[in-house]
Amino acid sequence: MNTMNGAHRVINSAESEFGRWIEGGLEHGRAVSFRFDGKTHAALAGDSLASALLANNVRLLGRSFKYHRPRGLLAAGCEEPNALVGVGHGIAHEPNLRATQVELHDGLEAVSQNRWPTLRWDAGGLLEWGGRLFPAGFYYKTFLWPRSFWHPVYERAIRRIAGLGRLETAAFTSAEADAPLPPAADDCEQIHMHCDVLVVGAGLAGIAAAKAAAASGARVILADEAPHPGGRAWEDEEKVQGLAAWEWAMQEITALQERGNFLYLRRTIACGHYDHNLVLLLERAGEHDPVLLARPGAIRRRLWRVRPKRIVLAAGALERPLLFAHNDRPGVMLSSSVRAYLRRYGVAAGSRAVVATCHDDAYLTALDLKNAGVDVACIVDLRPSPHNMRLSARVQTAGIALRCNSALWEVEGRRGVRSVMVGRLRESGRPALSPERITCDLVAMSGGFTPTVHLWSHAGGTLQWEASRSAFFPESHPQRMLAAGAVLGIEGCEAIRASGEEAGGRAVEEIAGESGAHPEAQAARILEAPAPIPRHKPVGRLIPGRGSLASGRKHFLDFQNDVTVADVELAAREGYRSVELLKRYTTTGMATDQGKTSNLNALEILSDCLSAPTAQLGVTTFRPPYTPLPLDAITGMNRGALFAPRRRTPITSWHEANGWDPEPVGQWLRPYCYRRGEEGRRQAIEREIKTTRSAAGMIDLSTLGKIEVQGADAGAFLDRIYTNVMANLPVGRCRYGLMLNENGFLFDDGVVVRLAEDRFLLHTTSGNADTIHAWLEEWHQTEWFDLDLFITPVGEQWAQIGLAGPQARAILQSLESDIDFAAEDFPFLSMRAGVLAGMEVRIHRISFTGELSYEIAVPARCGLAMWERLLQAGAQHGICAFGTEALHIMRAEKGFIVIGDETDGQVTPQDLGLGWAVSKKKADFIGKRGLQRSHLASDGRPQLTGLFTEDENLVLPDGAYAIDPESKDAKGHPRTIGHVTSSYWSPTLQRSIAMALVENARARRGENITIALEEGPVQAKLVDCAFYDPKGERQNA
Amino acid sequence: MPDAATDSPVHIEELPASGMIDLRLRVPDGAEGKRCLASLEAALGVALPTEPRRAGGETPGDAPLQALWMAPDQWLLLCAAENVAETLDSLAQAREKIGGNLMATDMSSARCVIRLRGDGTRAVLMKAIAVDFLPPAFMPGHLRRCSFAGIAAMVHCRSAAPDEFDLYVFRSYAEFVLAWLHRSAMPAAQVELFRDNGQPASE
Repeated sequence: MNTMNGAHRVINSAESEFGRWIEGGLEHGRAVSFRFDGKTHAALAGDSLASALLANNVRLLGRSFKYHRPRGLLAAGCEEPNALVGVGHGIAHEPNLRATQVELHDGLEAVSQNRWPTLRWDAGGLLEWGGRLFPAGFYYKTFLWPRSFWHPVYERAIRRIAGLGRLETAAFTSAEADAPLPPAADDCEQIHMHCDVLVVGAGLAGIAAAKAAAASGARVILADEAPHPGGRAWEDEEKVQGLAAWEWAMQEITALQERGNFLYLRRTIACGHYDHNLVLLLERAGEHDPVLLARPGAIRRRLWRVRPKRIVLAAGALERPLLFAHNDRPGVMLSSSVRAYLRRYGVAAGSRAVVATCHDDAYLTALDLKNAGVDVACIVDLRPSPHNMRLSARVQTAGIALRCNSALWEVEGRRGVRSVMVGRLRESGRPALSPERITCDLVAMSGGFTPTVHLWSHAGGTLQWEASRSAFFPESHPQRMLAAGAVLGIEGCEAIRASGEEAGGRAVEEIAGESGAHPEAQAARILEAPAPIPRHKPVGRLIPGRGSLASGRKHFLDFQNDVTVADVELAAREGYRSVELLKRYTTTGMATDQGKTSNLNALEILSDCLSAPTAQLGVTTFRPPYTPLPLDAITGMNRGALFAPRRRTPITSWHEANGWDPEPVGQWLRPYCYRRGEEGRRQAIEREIKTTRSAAGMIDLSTLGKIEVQGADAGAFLDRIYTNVMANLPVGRCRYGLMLNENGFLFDDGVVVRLAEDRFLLHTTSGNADTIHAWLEEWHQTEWFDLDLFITPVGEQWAQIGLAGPQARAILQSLESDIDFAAEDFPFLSMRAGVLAGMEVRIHRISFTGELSYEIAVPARCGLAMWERLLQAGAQHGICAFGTEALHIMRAEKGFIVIGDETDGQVTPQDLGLGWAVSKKKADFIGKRGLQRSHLASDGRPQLTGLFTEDENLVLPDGAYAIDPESKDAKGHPRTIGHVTSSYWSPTLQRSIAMALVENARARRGENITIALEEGPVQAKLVDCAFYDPKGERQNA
Repeated sequence: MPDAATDSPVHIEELPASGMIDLRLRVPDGAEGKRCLASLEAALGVALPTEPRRAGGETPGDAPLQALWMAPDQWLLLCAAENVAETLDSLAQAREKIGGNLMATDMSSARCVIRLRGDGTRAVLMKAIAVDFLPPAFMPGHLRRCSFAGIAAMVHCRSAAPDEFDLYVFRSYAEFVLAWLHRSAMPAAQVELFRDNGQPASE
């Protein structure tokens, strides 16, 4: 007779069938220690956190979501709804982990959740006494008064009370808010994988399927969430091919692993199935083992993106709870899980048990408990008898009382089971009037098994309701998935194995039968399950007990979201007749466990309330992921330095070494300015501009998009792409061109160069390079495929250096070259190809600064050498490198536009005063019709203008509104008549300048307008936006 | 970014600069197409692969010129850097003979080539590219233009067992790609795949 109290470790003999997952076996298990809520406990290597806590008789593991009810373990696997814990410290702290899935290691630290101040004395527990105030949907009905309290008071209070684990936000909000997060020691990564057959679940069916498929030579991946293969084989006592089921599983896996075409992924859970047969597998690659994680570069989790030709779903089935009063008390567990703790970890979940069931499987639990020395008070079966009559003989031989046609209908005890009320069922289904109280500390319950059809349903597999077994089973699948084993409702080890073998064989046959390169064309198949073995007539899982369901005696459906049978009944009364609405109203099945143990029970209750067949109600949509998928697994390697690609020009290394102050431009980092010594940004920019305007400056323009177009029709093509004429551009000349979209709005600009009779070079803005290439290809490939031409992006081939300033020519002339730089031989807007300082170059005489300026293109691998050569040659002329901000200011001083500053997707060339670049002669070009629409052609549109603020030192903020104080809009506010598009302090003019889009600005030049600032309105004069050298004498020099 | 330790399963090396020419030619159907291709091949002295995603040439790397299939009307010609001008000249002459639009562009500076060697090569590529790299899907002479961790790239298998792959990426991305490769090739990040490298998937 057992003398232990509560849950305890069982060690009965060397031959023990218990504790097979404990490393070295129960008697020789290596002792480890761990902490839970600050208290140190002993455990054995091989334990899960759940089994270790249970072995220490720690049964109170958390508080429930809504009522803060004390909760303990319900299950032993991924379906566990109650035992959510936080593991680890600081930034490594992970909340909401299921204790059943956390593998124990020495020194592990875990905390319980959703309790304050302690798990045992939780203030939130008071909520339960007001539980009647919080029925389903209470937050839709209450907190309505006063309205203004919702956001500041009610919502905050509710959010504080509700919820489960918390991130340790202190770890994320360091003293400097902008400081980068401390780097985690380990990473997650993703990998793309292809195979012939992916088998999900390494139970008997899965292993058999993998074996059959691998035998044919097919590449097979077998993925299973557990650290050991076998699934429920560990808890089964039937033999498979002469071996204990678990022995068979281990032996077959060992044999399979000898094969080169087999891959076993343990600790790997199939999270989702998507179109084109893509499956996401989450592998706990290192998180279970601190030794693995300690290696530099270790991978914590790995996300496999597998594209198998066939999937065999052998995910098994999950046990369902029974619905009796207080079925959530610590000590009430799923029967097969009780057996799992015994068989796998050698832990008896209590010292005196009552087994409540409507399924034969629970009899095995009763027998196991008895074998382990646990006192089994009785088996309470809702049915008249077990399906397998031999079982009733066996339990009676073992000395276990069997009460058929009976129900366990209430649990007593608050922080744990103290006793249960048991009684015979009456004809009405209600328990008898004279119940019996049985003292116990463990209830093992079984409401039968629910097939794990989640993955089947993610990507469109259909389900069939089978009333005889009250469950949904896989019906047909539009993609390439087969099912095997318990997920089809097959029971019995040998039958499950055979089902797997058949599915594995069929998977490879189907692959072999696929001819042609387009398997997508295959029609949907109806999957024929092997004839199910009927077990028993269903018996309702609800045991109403005393009083009304809405009384304090809660019958929990959804343990994680605290949804009771009464909540579903209320929702049904209130008219929630659809399962999808019921789910959202009551929140049943909406917690992190997604209702693995509750959905079918809820559905049956609703079906009963509505007197509608369950098949008609259907199920709520199964969506990935099957179990929560950590965000870092989705992020994978894309974090820190690898967060996103960062592009570098051939000259970036020089910028880095010479005081650059970088700014992001698309995927590039470009020098905003170069700071010397103690210089601030503004001083650096002023120096760069003054040097360039007075002597010479250099800028790295390699990020500009460059596209070559060649062919007999290249000119005609560009005439349709650009607003101006390009076909008549002479060879060796450059022309500034504008591109519109179909609506007539400006979306890119740049210089076009004619390299040869049939070859053009297009420059695009840095950020638009790829977009413009795609734009050109789309028009060529889909609309004008008759035009004979090729489009080749060459941006990466060429480094480009802008050399600007009055000394630019002298600098070039000081270098050895076959190009004549004399003004008359190399005029503005022309291009020369040749050799400069021994390097092949194309030099374009174009200017964005307004100075005498050359853009020198060299093959990228010579980019840095050319940059340094020019810098050296320019040294005696006082040259300096300048950044993007100096460039932008200098162009603004000239009134040149920047796409994205002066344009916002609703601006036409005419608005910007660039009407001269829009051909009136051409028959058509993209955007021509758009420009003719009345709104774009009408008066009163915003026009580009320069602004001089009355106060010369006031630099307007970008985007500031121009208003007309005289005219008011409907709300009595002054009407907006424009906005500032670019605004700078001009070091050249020694005053502020701005560009703006203002209604009818050209006609109103010289007038003052009002700009509304936060400090109050200011006056600015409308002026020509060519602030500096309006005649262009400097660039034409 | 940590450097790959010396016992990394993959040897990663950026190749020195060489010649690369982007070649475009729309080959008409039928006899005319054959004539076009033949005169182009005669001008170059190598066969141009017409089977998609294949490298031309029997001995990759040994021939003075190798053509990689890029698209139905596009090849990448590989040659020594000093032979680029000469090859462009012969293509200019071929253009007159063919009569159609043949576009040849020197792209020697545009891409950088990263050579990966060793048993872990395929697994490291699979961490960034959604392509089936397992033999026989990816064998010597096979190549794929693909997305490498979101970046346009091309992979060319030069030999199997020992595995050797060339990864082509645009120059501006080279540093990012190298950092990615070194990270994912660290010994502690090694992944075990099927051990039957080379066996047909199903008979």
